[in-house]
Amino acid sequence: MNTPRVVFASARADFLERIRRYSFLFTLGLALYFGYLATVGRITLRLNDTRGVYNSAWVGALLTIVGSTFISLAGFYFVKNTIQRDRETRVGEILASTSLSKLLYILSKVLSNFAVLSLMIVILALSAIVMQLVRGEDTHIQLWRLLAPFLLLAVPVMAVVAAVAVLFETVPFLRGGFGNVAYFFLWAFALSLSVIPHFPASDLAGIGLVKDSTIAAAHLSENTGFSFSLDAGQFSTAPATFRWDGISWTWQILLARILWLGVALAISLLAALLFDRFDPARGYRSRSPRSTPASSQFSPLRFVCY
Amino acid sequence: MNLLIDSVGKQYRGNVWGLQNISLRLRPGVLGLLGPNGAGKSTLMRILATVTRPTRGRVLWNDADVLSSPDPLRMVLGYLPQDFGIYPHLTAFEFLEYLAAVKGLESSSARRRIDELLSVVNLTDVRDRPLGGFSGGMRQRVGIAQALLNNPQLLIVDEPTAGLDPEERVRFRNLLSELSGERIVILSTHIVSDVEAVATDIAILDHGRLLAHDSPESLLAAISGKVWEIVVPSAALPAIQQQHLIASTAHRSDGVHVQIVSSSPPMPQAQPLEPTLEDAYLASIASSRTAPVGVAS
Repeated sequence: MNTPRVVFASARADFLERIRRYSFLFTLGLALYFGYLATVGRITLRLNDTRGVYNSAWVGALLTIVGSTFISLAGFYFVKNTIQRDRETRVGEILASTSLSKLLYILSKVLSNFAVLSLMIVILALSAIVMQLVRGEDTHIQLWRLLAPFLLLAVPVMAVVAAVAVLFETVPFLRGGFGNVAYFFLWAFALSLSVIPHFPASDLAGIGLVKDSTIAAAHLSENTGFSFSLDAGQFSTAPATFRWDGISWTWQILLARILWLGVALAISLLAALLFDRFDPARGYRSRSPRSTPASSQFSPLRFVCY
Repeated sequence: MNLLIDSVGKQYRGNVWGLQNISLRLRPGVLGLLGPNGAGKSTLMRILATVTRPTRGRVLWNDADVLSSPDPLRMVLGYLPQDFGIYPHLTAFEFLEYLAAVKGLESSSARRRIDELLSVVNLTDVRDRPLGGFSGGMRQRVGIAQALLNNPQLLIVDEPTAGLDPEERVRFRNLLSELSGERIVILSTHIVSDVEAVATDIAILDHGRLLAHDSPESLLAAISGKVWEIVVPSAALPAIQQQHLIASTAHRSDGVHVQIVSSSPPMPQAQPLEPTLEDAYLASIASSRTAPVGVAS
């Protein structure tokens, strides 16, 4: 079996199936709308009463945080149905009757989720160019500074979200409503970890990186308040501005970001271990009353495919 | 080429047995697997398709154990599950391309094979249309096309005609008949007429047990002389239904023509009829339950 071709074909089919849905356009539209709000100053990133000049670095970081935050939540719910669809359509049973291994199947689903979420990030990144020009504070486009946060901060987030969505589908009690609620709290918890001082390893979204870098650029103290908020008119005075030229991408930072891809891979492996391979007798009750109830033979650590 | 199902049983939670002690030896030809809803047909299909494991027994493909090593069978297996659905936003070609890759076909040969199969199932004209717009019959034809992608030696189709209109059902039956050739085809259904035209062997399941496995001729021979027709007024029908195993009824101008399966004439005026497979099926099911008076066993 040609492994890359199988994974690619499976991920491609799933990807095409989802991006042709109206719900994809709706989710993408919402992400772009939040990006627009950020550009026009309705969603703000502030260090006390200062903010950065809307140059490529600031717009890139701002929209990356907006995208990572929104897409890691809404995007999860958008992609968390890929295995369920294969169950409901019984395409999963067809796949289970082939030599396709659990690992390849799960990897293809994670890849498909990742592609869908990353496509949203790519479109948001391209829109950032337009939004910088629309804002007009600094019309000099510096592509690397604009796009690097999307690539190095948002993309690893999408990889983790893609893998977590598949993991939730392989754990029976996380497949339904409980899993949706649980993810919301997991999402909020993960974001809060991003800004814990002196614990950069937990900074999945890269918000702490942006905070530290911007505080240094603005010559402020480490304890400066860093707020990311929807401006509902509470800011009566225009904030002072400072110039920020982006994060210095050191090897340590790059390695930390790559490690998140490793985390995504580890979650994928766990999902493959837990996956029931569409056997309705292994803990899953399908929709048909004639279908088989669960048996006690489920062995979560069994990885050999059958 | 042979498939041996040896004492296979499947137990579910709560000590419920979905299948018990099923043994069959299959060779090239079409096996019609008949049984009412809940008989265990789909469970058996899933076991043979290597989707689920039996609790007891073994399955051998060309004398090799499928349970310990399923891949040799999977390489030559085509499976169309019951209630097969689709990816509505993919075209027929894209969907088949996807499953061809999963089944291990190389890109160029996959495209040729897909074109051939779309022609066989008469979907060439709509190959680039989204599957979401397909009728039930068209989707089933996509389903059979995917099952044939790897030119399987074992083809398993589970209730393929459920939900199809009569014309589509006839087309599907003819298609299966054309496809049988040098392979083992297992056609699971609760509609006797679906297997009547194509099956070389028939197995009857009920409540997870195998009631019969024989050729259609043998099943018919076993019930020969036990099918009768009587003509009665409509008002008499309820009483007859309580006393006899009714194969069919037809309302005509001279009364209700009732076909009864019985080892002896149910009434003096009863006329013997040539048995049909449906009669044999009903008699077999009835004999496994509380048999009405006079029903053949």
